[in-house]
Amino acid sequence: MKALFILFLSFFFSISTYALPVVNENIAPPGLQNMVVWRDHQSPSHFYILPKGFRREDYYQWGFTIHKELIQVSFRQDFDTENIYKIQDYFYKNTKYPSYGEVEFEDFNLNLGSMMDNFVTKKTCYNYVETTIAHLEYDGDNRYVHCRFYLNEIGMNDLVPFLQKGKFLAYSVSAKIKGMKRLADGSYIPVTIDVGFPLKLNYPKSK
Amino acid sequence: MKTLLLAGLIFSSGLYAAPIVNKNIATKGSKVTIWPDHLDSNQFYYAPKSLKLAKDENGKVMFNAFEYKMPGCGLLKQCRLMYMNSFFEVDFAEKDLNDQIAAIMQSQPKAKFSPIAYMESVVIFSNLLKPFIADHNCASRGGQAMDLVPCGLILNKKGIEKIAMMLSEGLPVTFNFNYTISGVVEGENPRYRNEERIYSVGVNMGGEDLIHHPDLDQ
Repeated sequence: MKALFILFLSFFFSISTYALPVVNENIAPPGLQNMVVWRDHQSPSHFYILPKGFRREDYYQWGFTIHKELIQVSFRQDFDTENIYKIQDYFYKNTKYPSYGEVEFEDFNLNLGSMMDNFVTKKTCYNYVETTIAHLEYDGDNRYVHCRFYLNEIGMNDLVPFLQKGKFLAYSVSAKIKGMKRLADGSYIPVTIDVGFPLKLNYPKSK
Repeated sequence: MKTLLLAGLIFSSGLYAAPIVNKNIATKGSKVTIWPDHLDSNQFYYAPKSLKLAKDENGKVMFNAFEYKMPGCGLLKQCRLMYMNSFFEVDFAEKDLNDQIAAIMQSQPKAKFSPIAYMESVVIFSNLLKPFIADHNCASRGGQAMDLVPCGLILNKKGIEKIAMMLSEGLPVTFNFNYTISGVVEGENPRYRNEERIYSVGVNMGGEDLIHHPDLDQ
């Protein structure tokens, strides 16, 4: 948590100097190459760290007479906090006054498609165009996705018991990222890339 | 201002640049692809061989499935569906890769190796599987080389009989994963020319981890 706090604190302090990430070079330090770290194309000491995916944060379930069963679930960006410490340590030793930031997402979508349709009477994590998130918010240090699933009988009798056994559903979040591509001569051109992040919907272990 | 910008570029261009994509230096016959960097002679990039079913931190394969019936179909088997979930991870052919790295390190002890950075990646789901599938979300955008790739399938009756049975017997179900990289091509004049290339590798759902998997043998 402390690592995340430092990461985003440095983001707010450095917001005036950063430009765009160089998206065709992963400069994750040796031994930490399961992470994606991009450097800024203008500031040599500003770095961007990508999340590994989205993990379930909250899971609430209620029974209702009309809707039978309602699941409300939140997903949060999943940063590997232990590795963030190591990355910060590496750049602290190798770069003067390093700072870190979040990559800006555009067209941020949870790609449920119609995969949940057999299990729900209604789902409200998108409300206007299919696969578009209606509710995306920042709480100062992270991004959330909130969904509400109103389960039908199959959802209650088959899906929930399946999740309660420690199983998961596999989805993805897609986004567009504006960045810079570094060319062979050292110059840059602006690019927008499409990226996907894995998202796992599972049941809380403690429940 | 120009000087400052130039200084920034030089400072930041340091170690990492672009792979020379027409210069695979892996030994002939090896399963891996290793490209050198066009600026740093100690930097090398390796490419994925394929994607395989991922394992979680406990070594458990990230695959599960459950069967359900649509309402009102009673005992009819035609109404059965199977929701199958999996996450895939990159297969670098680790043994081959480690052999190649060891060989390069003998002549270049300071050599550094990184997985290739994708500009973009996407799963290309096979049309051949469509008769067996009621729905899927497998043709999703991917992330970088070390990120998990999700895939959810809803099998129809035919799919349960064929695909689930194949997987339970250890037979593979395959589709493709495309990734785009931004590199350079080495030539004469200019020595390096920018090039964006799309490569395709197989996604292998199946293998010994799924043989008689409890979710498939229902």
